[in-house]
Amino acid sequence: MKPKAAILFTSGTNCDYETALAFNLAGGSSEIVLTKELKSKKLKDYQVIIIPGGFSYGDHFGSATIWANELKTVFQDRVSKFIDEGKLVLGVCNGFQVLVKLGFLPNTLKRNDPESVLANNSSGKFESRWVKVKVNAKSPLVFTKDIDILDMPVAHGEGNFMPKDIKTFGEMIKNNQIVLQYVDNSGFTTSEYPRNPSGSFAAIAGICDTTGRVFGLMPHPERFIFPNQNIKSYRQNAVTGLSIYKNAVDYFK
Amino acid sequence: MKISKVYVSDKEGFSSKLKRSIDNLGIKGIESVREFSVFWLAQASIKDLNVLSAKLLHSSFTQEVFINTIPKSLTKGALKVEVVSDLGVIDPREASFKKAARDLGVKKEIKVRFGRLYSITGRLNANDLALIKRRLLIKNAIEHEVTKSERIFVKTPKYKFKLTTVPISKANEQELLKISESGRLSLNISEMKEIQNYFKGLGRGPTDIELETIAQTWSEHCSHKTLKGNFLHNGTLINNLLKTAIIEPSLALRKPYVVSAFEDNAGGVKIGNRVICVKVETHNHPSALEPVGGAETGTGGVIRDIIGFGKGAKPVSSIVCFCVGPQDLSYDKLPQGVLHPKAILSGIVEGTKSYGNQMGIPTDFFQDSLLVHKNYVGNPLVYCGAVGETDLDSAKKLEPRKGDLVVLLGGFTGRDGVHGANFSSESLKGKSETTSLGAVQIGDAIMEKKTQDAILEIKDKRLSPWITDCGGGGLSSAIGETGKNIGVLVNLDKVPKKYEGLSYSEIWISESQERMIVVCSEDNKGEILEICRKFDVPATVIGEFTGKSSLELYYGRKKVADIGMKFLHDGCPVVSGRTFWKEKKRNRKKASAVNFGEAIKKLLSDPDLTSKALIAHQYDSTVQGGTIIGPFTDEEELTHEDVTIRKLSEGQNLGFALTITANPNLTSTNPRYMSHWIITHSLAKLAVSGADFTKSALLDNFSWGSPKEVKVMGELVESLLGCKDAVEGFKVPFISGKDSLNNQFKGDKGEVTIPGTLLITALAPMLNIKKVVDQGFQNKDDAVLLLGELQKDMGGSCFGRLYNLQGEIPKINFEKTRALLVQLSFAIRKGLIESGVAIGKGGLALALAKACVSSGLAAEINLDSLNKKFDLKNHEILFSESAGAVVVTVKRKLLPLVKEMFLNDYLEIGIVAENRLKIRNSSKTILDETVESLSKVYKEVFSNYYEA
Repeated sequence: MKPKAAILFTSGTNCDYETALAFNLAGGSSEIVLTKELKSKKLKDYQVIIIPGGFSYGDHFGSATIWANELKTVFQDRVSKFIDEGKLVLGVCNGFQVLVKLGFLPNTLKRNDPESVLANNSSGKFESRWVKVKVNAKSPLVFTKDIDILDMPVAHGEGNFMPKDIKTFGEMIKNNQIVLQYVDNSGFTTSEYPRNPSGSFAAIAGICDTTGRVFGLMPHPERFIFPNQNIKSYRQNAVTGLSIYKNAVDYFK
Repeated sequence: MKISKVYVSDKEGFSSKLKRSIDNLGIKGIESVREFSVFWLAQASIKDLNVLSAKLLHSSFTQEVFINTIPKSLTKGALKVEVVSDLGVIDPREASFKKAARDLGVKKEIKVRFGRLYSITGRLNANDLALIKRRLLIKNAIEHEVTKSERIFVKTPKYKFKLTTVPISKANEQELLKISESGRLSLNISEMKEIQNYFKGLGRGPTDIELETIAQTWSEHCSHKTLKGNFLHNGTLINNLLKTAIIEPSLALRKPYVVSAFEDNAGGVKIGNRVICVKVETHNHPSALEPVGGAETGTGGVIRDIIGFGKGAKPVSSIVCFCVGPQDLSYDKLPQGVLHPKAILSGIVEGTKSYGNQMGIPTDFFQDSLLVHKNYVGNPLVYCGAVGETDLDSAKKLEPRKGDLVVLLGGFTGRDGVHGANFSSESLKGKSETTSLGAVQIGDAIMEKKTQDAILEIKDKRLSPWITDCGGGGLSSAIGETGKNIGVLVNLDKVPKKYEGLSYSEIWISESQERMIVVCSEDNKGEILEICRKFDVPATVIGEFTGKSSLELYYGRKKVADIGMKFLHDGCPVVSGRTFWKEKKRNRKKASAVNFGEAIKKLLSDPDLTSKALIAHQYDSTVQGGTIIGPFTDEEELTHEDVTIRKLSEGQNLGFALTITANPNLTSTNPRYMSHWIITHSLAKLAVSGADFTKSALLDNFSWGSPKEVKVMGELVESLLGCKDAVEGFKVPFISGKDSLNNQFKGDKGEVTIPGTLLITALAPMLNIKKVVDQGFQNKDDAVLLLGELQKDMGGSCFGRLYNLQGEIPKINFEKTRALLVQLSFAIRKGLIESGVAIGKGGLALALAKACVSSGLAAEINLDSLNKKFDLKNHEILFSESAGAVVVTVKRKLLPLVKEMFLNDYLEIGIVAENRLKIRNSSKTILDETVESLSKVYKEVFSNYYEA
């Protein structure tokens, strides 16, 4: 059976097309699901929920604020159950912001409370550029299995990850929830702009929850699924973001 | 009415950016500036206020919130400036607020208005405060300072219908002109007389809305009457300039890949079994007044042109080009009423990027996307373009049939941009700020995105024969054009409004954004409305096609207009003019001894030639996953590629290459050769990326001065004739174009006209996106080749301007250049070429420098072979801007094959090396610079004086 992904969509979502392409190419199948139609959908029909990037409701009043509020009522309890059943949730960019606002990430206390924030980039600007991230090999995360270094584009104005307090950060380290960190060309974690484009705390580019089944990241793996989408890596036969989606599909085999 | 206020500010609330801007104005004594967002809420209970401020209006991690009052300790001793948007300027956050409030369980409908509060400490006199307010704190075109007695929530009175007829039949010339002026119709005397005659024939006077409709349809913006006019140019009569110079030569080529040219909202070419459509527009005058709003409107408008191409198309990339004044202009040289070039640039960047990014369309920011000239200070240019993809069936509109319905989709209608089309056809005056209110709007990109989502589904389900956008001229223009052949009846009272009080004519000519017209049969109506409901897009049937060949407008049961379509569309008297152009006599000055190393660095730091990565990185360039090349390919992403390449959504290896070119510095030297140069360079850039030259297509955008100036128009005619030469010479057609006239500014420091600015957008298919090259050198020891001719002429060149040389513009041999470029794109597809860059601004030297900077590798160039082949001086070899020639690198073992292919065009000039760019001849070294030092100037200069 092909695992099926529900790709959530609402006003201002704009990465749905390439996300579906990526998941299908990885061997899964996908369906774009409008948020307002979620109520009438059965989550048992899906193995993966992907919240893609975009500017949901214009990101008015802060990125993903309105979408997260909307999803809270129709979605939160059902998704908790979905995760408990051993299924996967992925949020990219705006989707990561949603998962953080809903408390699914990092969720160190397992209470679905917001424990962190994705604030304005420290450069004060929208940043569109290629970044290099390194995977934490000890992380329990399903999506990043056997991946080490990955190039991907970022495109966001609010990707500056900050944990609520030092205790949260300590828990995240202890649980190996810090999955992706921005690195320089030599592969070392970096806080320097623009290799760390958002000024993110501890160079955090992506995190998971304690189960390793919920993943949120600022870079866009779905924009690098064919080698020639990055001319530099193309010449070096580098790993592409497709591997993230393949890991998700393989998990259900 | 109970009004509450919520203040939100960042925890570290002091705005250092704003303080820096104040310092830049030369105002001393400011200690700190703190900015608060202000929300006025009507009828909110305490509970509602608490929920909304906690869950929606602020984020507790990074912000502080204050309800109704700000603690005194925070604003002690501070000057306060509170700003609110003007009534009628609708903030898209309002709809989001209402939705979010519902989601949060707030039952009552709470009204909201948005503003800002600045709290400034330090010593500040009244003059300085006024200056700061005007320059930095208040956008005068859309907002104002709150006054003590101001009522924030006002009920707008309902509109009471009253039909207005304009007494025109007995008016004399003077009175006719007065009618035109007082109605802001921008109609001239012969047009007014034509209208007078038409209505005399009907035996009645026109209604106000009929006059408005005619004025809109005949405006320069909508009809391009000047370019379609007849010109007696240098004594020779040219009938319909646009047709003669652009349209006919293009159509005469009968290119089978051209699917749609000059007939739709955009031009379209076939690639595989898909159609790529392109459109570029200007949005100059509104952007001068309110750069953010003006630029948003420009971007949103051209994207709608694409969505409304044929029966619908998906926008897949967006293009920008800004022409602005020098960023370091001192304030005492700034004419009154004009925004500083810095404010204009950061505003138009803000507007274009926020709109394109929110729509999820990758934006290309090229080297030529920002051009600087002192004559753009009062009248900047903002070019916005977009590219779309659709299927073959959807590329052509089908005429509406009798009984088909007019469905209005998208945003509501307000007083926005009333008279916008006429305004953009007028020149800018120092007082435009006050007389043109209503010309600028705030964009709502999310509304447009939703509308796009709905339209793409309508297209995929084949529910509409004709989709078009509402742009300049609003419903008047969009529906008037749609019903041109069959006739249409519109019920204006059915149009959904942003607020009460709009008259029937305001509804009809409003240029509110984010609106589209969809034609459908009665049978498909239900399904279309259902799709719109699904995506939360307002949709209303507002009229139907009648078969009566006339435009009939109703308000309720009252008929307010009835004009024959033939008169409306063909009745405008043809413009005719006498124009003149003659080449100026120039003394060819000799170049004094120049240090070439210094020259190349000066060029690399020229605002036109230096890296603008700081701006480019603010535009999403990878969304949709189609980007193969561009905007950068170097490791640091700082060196502009000349071309972007995107793949199609269908067809494994198919894609398209796109580039833009402008060179206003050539216009005054020779506008005809300027056109040759720009088109040649555009096509060379495409060919050297591997695109299929033989299937290229062009778009023109002319931004020019006043059509009343004989010499200004003479330059324009010459430039158009230059386009004709190039179409015929290269056998490459234009598929679309647009012009913007009256780009001059009259202020307290005299009248300034922009340099005639032609922007050429060129595209060509990529037959194999796996075989593309970029500009950076690839491997050490590869051979460096020059393909094509170098020329002597330095007129208008970057080097010439730097060292005050005059002269002519390089003359293009179209036939030879075409043969070279055809061969080149073939060689790249065969994998013979490693890297390539077209020679353009800054000449061979700059082309080499960019290849170095982009790759980190270098080159050793020997001029002996060049000296032998071309009879040129060293500075001419290095810096003449010989468009059409290219520099490529080739693996040594492939040289014999490449030589065989290019014959006389082939010349080995050096090898790829490391660390230093060295240029020498047999006797001495004439340039020796480290790549690092070249990179440093190229990459740093602009960021130093442009502030985001």
